Amino acid sequence: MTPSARAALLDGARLIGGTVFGTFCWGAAIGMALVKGGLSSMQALGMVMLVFSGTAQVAALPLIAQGAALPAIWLTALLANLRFVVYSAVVANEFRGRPMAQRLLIGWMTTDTGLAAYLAGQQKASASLSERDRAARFMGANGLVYFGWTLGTAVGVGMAGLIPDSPRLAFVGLLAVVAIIGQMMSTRLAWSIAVPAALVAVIGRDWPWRGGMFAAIAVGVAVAMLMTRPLERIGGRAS
Amino acid sequence: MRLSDAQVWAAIAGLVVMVFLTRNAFLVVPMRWQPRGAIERALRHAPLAALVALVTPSMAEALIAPGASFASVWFDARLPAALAALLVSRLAKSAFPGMAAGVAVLWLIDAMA
Repeated sequence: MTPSARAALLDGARLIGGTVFGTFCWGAAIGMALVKGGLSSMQALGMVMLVFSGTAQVAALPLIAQGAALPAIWLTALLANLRFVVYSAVVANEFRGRPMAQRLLIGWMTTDTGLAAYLAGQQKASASLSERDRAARFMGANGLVYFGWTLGTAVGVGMAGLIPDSPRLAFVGLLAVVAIIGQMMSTRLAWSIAVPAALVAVIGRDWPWRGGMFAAIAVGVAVAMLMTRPLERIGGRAS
Repeated sequence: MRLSDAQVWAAIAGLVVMVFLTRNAFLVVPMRWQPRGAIERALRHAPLAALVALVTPSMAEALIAPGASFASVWFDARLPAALAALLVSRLAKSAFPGMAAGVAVLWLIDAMA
């Protein structure tokens, strides 16, 4: 690894920084839930390290616990994770010049918080990095999320049954996400996206397969389109 | 009916495939299918909307519950903690202080209740 790529990797990890503690707590809550849902420790750890998707796991767990048909479990996870298809379009554009194997690794590593922190960091970055260094930065951010998540789950799996699970533990994970949102809220555009997205998400909170979340993303992207277009016409870049 | 061990592993393997497919969807299709221009730039804001959608239902639960009052929202602690996290991270332009502030508010209110 070149020195500049190593610096970019650390810089990416810094974008996530201490909020990895929240990811750790969230992972611990999920780890306990997986074991309580009837998975063996090996299965729970395998699931977390290989699937590496909180929403897919949370969606699939009740179905696994009640012994649903496998295709139903898979379809539910697919639908709950549809937003990652949207992310993959962004990631594909950002890293279009990387070798295919690396692109697939980058795609698989994509997390909500890692991608959001990376994109927010890109907006603020004064000097533009080479694509290779940007890839290192992206992996630094998402790699730290992976580390915190996996470690948290391992601890959760190990402690299931030893300590009472508290909804507060998972909530610390949500607070980390709120804080990551907070550091992004420095523009009018960000508020214009976040407020309607929040309303739609609350209205659609009980829609199946995270439909409310998908609708909130659609609204957010539509707002971003509307607000950045006029600026573009007069020659400015709004993103 | 419980799934056998082998079935659980099969379920996990399928989940890996599903997550891999969704996260890599646009990475494996031809370049000319990629969204470009204004759409591509707008899509860069999708993660912000998604993060907001990930947290708000839980934050708003106490607020939209039937018979919600100032006291019930306050002692539920989730909304005050989230507002503290949002405010501090916004002012500090850094996430960790915001998360710490949110956790502190959560503990304080839980200690009062």
